[in-house]
Amino acid sequence: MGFRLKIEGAELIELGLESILTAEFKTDTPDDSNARSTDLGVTAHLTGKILAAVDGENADDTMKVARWSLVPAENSDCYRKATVEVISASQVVRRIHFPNAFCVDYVEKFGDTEGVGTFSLLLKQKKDKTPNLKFEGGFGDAV
Amino acid sequence: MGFTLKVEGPELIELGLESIRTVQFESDIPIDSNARSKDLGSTVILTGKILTAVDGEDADATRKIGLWSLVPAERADSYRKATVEVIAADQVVRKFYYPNAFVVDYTESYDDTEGVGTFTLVFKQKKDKISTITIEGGYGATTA
Repeated sequence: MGFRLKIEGAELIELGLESILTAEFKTDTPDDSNARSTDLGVTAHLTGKILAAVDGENADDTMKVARWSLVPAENSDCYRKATVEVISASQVVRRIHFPNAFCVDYVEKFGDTEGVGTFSLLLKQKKDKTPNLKFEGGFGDAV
Repeated sequence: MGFTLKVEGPELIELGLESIRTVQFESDIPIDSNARSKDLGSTVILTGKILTAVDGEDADATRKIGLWSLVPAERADSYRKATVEVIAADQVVRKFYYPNAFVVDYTESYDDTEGVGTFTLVFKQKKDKISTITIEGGYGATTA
């Protein structure tokens, strides 16, 4: 399976099949709910590689994600449109679109025995905009 | 991958490629936030080796980090300018710059079966100065 992440905001951030290792999608209401709760949150958790541009190509977009993770709450740019695609055998298994995503956690790790770093990005849809989330899939991938 | 750390304050602390083993950068808001929160913090965690100067060269700068970690909060030099670089294949993958970094944790451990000690340094940017952090990278390294 392959994954693509696109984040549209003040700048375009694109991470492709080479970078992303895992994608996890989660909808969550409190575990102690006695009935369906309105306290509904939606998160996506992505992990992947931070590639060094060894052949003179452009550096990957993980740096822009790191900068996004530092945008303060009073700046409207902290909310961006994020799209996660899960692709397998030329089929889009899932296309999940977060129109008002914000970054909850962003972690980068580097080690001296590895050639690449790793990142972990947790993003969430703004809670009052949860109904705007689009959850699509099951169609062919137009390459 | 290789890493360098530079801490500028009343004294210069430099740790190089031989010393640092891992670098971790984090920025986070509370996990239960319903919207983007003002409560934003950014942390860097470094682990590495404490090298013994066996050939008469200068001792490495880890002792100065130990001293920095003991500076009390009422002194201005508890905040220092910290720069961490991640270098791979002559490319600067990341250059994190924290202009008001303070030490949260500093741990050194030694063992009787090893020739080097290990350290863990956790530093954070002063929370009201988060916007002054810069993250750069993706350019060629100038090898000295």
